[in-house]
Amino acid sequence: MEYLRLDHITVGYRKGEPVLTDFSMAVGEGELLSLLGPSGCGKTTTLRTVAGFVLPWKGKVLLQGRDYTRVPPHRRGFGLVYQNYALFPHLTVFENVAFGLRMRRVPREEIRERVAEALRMVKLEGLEKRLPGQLSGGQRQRVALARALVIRPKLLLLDEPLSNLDAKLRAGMRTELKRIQRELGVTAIYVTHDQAEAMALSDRVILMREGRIEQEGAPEEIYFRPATPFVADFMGFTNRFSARVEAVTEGMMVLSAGGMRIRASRAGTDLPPGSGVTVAIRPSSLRLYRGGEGIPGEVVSHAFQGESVQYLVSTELGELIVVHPETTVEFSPGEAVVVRADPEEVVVFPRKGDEG
Amino acid sequence: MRVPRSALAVLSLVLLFLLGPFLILFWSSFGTQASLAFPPKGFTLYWFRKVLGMRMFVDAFRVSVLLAFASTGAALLLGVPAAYALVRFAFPGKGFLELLFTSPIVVPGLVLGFALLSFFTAVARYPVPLRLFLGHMVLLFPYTVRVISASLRNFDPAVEEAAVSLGAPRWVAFLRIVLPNLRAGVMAAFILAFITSFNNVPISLFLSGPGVTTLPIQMLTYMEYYYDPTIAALSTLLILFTVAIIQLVEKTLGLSTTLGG
Repeated sequence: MEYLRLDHITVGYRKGEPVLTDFSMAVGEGELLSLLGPSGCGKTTTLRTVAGFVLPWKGKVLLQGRDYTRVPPHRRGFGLVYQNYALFPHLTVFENVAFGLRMRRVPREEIRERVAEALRMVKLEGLEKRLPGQLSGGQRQRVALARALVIRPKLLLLDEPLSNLDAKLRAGMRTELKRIQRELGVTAIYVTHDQAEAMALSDRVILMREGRIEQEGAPEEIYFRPATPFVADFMGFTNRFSARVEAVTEGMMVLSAGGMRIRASRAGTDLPPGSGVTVAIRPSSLRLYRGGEGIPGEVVSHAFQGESVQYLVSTELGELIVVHPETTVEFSPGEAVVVRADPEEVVVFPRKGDEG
Repeated sequence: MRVPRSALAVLSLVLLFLLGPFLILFWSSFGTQASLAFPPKGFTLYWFRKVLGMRMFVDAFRVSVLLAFASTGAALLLGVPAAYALVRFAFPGKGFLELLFTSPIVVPGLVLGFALLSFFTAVARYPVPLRLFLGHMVLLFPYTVRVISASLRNFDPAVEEAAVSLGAPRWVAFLRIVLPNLRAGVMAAFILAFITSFNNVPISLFLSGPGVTTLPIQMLTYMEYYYDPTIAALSTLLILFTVAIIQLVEKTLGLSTTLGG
């Protein structure tokens, strides 16, 4: 069911320079939606518009059908979590979490109970009397989360909440965030530039570019079937080259590039033979062999990455990056190899104004 | 790590140069000669007793203290919201206002004093105490705005927004979240403004009137006629007074927030 809707929003900070133009999106009840995109794509502005800190020039913000566009931020009852935690430095953990309840004039006894409950939920019992300066980064972010959740927000807004934490902590917090959001059934908008984070957390992802929605869908959809070259690029399809459609059969295409043949399935199967295309392939979708069919090339270098090995292979189609999920290096620089791609994971985009 | 000898030598020279005059002054205020001489002979508290018994100094001291407190307080009351507006909001003419707020620091004190005098004689014929109060406030306002702006800039606006998102109207967020965190800035602004007012000569020189004058002006007047250790004794007392004020401000402002938070 639709819960929040941004309806034809145009907004910006400087006159004549809108960040979002005629932007619309919807969030379902209980859903965790990610706004994903590079910096400057307008994702934070979208979040700030929902929060009420920036007033749209045009358009409406609707929550359960009610117009929230002109409701001041302190009356919206949305919980906010910031990248740099934004805790009140002069107040204890208890008072930080209690702040929203005090503003609502909740009775003292109830404040004590609800703060305790919120701190239990984020596993911070016993730290009530600490000041934010005496906590670790992870603990601070938990306080920020408890502070936003204790008011039972109608909407939880998260602005890159994990990007200040180290990698190990981030993975842990990710699962926890998801668990808490599920448990409470709170609708959430999650802003991030980290695609892995968006994939792991979201029910749905909106990928933004220059103030517009570039693609919208389930994480799997965006991960495996990028709709545009921009999305493919952002989602890690680093290998790219031009090709031409040679033949189209049932759900399968034969492409030719530099005199070599590559098979690709699905995506853009309505392209007629002869059309020029851009091919995008993830490094992990390519494999190296010592012979057989495929793109011939020569290993330039390899880099051991712990759980995988990354090879740089020079071919007639340019340099290709290949990642093998192995813990041993199988090919050495100078070795002649053949690169093959899994047809299921080859993505093809039509090239405009190109006949081959 | 060993400090090189040459550095130590330079450091002691600088210290001597900075503290030397004060030490001489301090020492002379206990001397028994009737005129300022160095090294002073003997030891007496006579000059201190004399200063504390002189109406002209005691009255002027009272005026100076009252004036410093009043004008500093007013400059802070105006300076905090002004600094907040300048740091947090963008509005047309902001650059001009920022420039305007620095001008009294850049404009020579005598020019400012003369301008104020012209204003008070030509436009607003206010009584002398009010003139002094307004004149000092104008002088101090830019200092408070500057110092408080600096500490506001170090305060993450997201913290304030977080408070607003939790249900605090802007002004409540300001009072309960922003202001307590500006403590150090307010303290610094207070001390700077208080001392600036208390030591000011050029503005007070133009705005003082019969019967109402500040201590630095009174000291200058006295020195035109006499050259004895009275002034040295008074200066010693003033240094002690200033140190006491700074201590007091630090204690009260520091303590109240610890208890209140």
